[in-house]
Amino acid sequence: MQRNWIHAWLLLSPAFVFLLAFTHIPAVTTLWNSLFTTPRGRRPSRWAGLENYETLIADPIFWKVLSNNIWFALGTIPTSIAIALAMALWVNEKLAGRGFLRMAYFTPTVLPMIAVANIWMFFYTPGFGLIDQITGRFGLPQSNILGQPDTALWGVMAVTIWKEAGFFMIFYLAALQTIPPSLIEAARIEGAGPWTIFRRVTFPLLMPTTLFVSINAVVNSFRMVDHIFILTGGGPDNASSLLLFYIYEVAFRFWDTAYAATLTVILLAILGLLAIGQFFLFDRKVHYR
Amino acid sequence: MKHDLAQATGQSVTLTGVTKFWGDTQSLRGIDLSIPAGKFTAILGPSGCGKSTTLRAIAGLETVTDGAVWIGDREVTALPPAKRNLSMVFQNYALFPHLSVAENIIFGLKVERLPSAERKKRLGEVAELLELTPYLDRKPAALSGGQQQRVALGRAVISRRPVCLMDEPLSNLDARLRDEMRREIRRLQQALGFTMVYVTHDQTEAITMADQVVLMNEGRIEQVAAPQDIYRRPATPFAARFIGTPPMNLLPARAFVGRPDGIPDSLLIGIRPEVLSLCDTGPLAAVVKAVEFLGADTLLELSTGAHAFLAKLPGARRFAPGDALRLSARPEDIHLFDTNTAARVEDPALASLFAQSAT
Ligand SMILES: Nc1ncnc2c1ncn2[C@@H]1O[C@H](COP(=O)(O)OP(=O)(O)O)[C@@H](O)[C@H]1O
Ligand SMILES: [Mg+2]
Repeated sequence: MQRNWIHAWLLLSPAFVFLLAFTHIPAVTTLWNSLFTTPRGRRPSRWAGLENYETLIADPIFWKVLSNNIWFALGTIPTSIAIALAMALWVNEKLAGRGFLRMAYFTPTVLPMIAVANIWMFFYTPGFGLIDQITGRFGLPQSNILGQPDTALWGVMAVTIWKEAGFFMIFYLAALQTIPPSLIEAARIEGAGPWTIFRRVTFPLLMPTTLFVSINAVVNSFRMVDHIFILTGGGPDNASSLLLFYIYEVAFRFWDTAYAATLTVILLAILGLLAIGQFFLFDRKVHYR
Repeated sequence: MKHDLAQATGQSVTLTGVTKFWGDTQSLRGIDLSIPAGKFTAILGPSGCGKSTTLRAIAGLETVTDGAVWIGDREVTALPPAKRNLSMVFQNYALFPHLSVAENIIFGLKVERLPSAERKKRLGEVAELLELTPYLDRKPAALSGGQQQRVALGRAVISRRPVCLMDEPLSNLDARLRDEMRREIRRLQQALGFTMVYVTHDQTEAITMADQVVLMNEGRIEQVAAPQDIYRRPATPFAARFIGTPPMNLLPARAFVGRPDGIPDSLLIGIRPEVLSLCDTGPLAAVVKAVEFLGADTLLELSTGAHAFLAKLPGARRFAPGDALRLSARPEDIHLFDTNTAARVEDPALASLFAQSAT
């Protein structure tokens, strides 16, 4: 009995050490740092209490990027999950060349985000980009999607959806293949059409996957910012800046590390709350086999 | 018991010239079959002979390469399963794991948009009939194998469809439960009066349950007959060996002592092990190879020249390997088959020659 415990701890310890070093300790340090001022030149950091949080509440850019991020999440999560599910159902059919289709849909996932962003730069470039070349054929005026405050975020969202849908599709595809074909056949015999089968059999059985994928999507919507560096740099006028991108700017461009720590604490709190909330929301509706 | 659920009329099922190819391999080689309305028909055959394919062709889960499927007086060859008005029980039950027992049973009624009062009424009846009332709120995973089986039966009978298909529904149950469910399914079919098409590889199931047995082999139908007839008068050597345990002995004429002259080599003489009896002047002179004591009977492995055969003898007489025996059978217990045509030969006079004692 005693030996088992020791073995268990020994086996867990390598992973535990790394988790501590790279996740738990930095998280606690961040929280600690957010309660101090940023050291500047000769001025060492001093205890600031909740001053940083007061600054944050008064910071219009923080509210701007937060609302951007909420719109970004609302715009990308349901769409990319719906597209992923639709693609998985389609690719799961017995159709010719489905191996090729699966690979084609999955390709965006294996590309680095930086490469994806560069491909989309080519689509978006005003005048020469693919979009303008096509719309130009029909005599439409030149566009500047990424250059305008009211469309820049939409441009960034399109890239994100394109990148994420293929990744989520793989999870749905794997889950679809665990559904016994006889369940679908039984439903067909009972008179159900494709829509009823989807609504009453397939979709409920995919609920655990939907939960998993949507938690991932939420986390990603606060975490994926690589493409913003290439596409817009957060501009124009912070129109396409997201919370994490703003944290990066504050920390490594303005070197206001204490304020960056404060923003980070807020980000972690939001993510934690969302993940817990989703779990409770979905848990009632999820059927685990 | 005439129940409220009774379906007054089952419908007949007819297959004409049905073939099925999977790429180059052919799993049905021209099936002509007529399944009478309201009767219990068992499709029997060894694994891989095309039973499931036949059933799925009737269900519409598989398209046929050629030929036609009729249900009642309606051709359904091109119709999807939903339009064929039949129900089906799958080998693994195919219960929806996320739905309760009640929801599983009324799934089809909901799809049909039957009013909820009617749904409730029928659910009550079916649950009563199948003794599922205490379990209606459970998920299938919380039921035993036999209970899951009954839920699948409930789902199949609640919509009162005229034809019910079952593909090896008992093969996941243990032996005792299998006997019980066999009787239950038979009782259900007789009480409700639908047409049953029941696939099995187990001859006991087919023979004990069915009004009509369809024996299949390698994508063809070997024989269609009532269980007694298929046992008493097998139509082909395959049918002769497949039905009955231990299987029928098939011997060439030259294995018999004092055989008549002029018998072609293509003739096979079939004698069931249980009809052989000891007789000092019997036409089969054999040496005992092995003895298996079964209690009431003794099963002997025998050989005569190069031919091995079995005999099941009643009584308590002791045998030992190496004993020499003479055996005979009554003329009406002798079956003749022509291996060229794989068909039964009706020739009582010829048959009696192999029953007579050698001179
Ligand atoms: N989906 C399929 N693809 C290819 N061959 C199949 C398929 N289903 C069945 N077969 C072949 O058809 C033959 C009959 O199969 P089946 O009807 O399932 O036999 P049974 O139910 O009598 O055991 C088998 O040889 C099997 O390999
Ligand atoms: Mg089968």
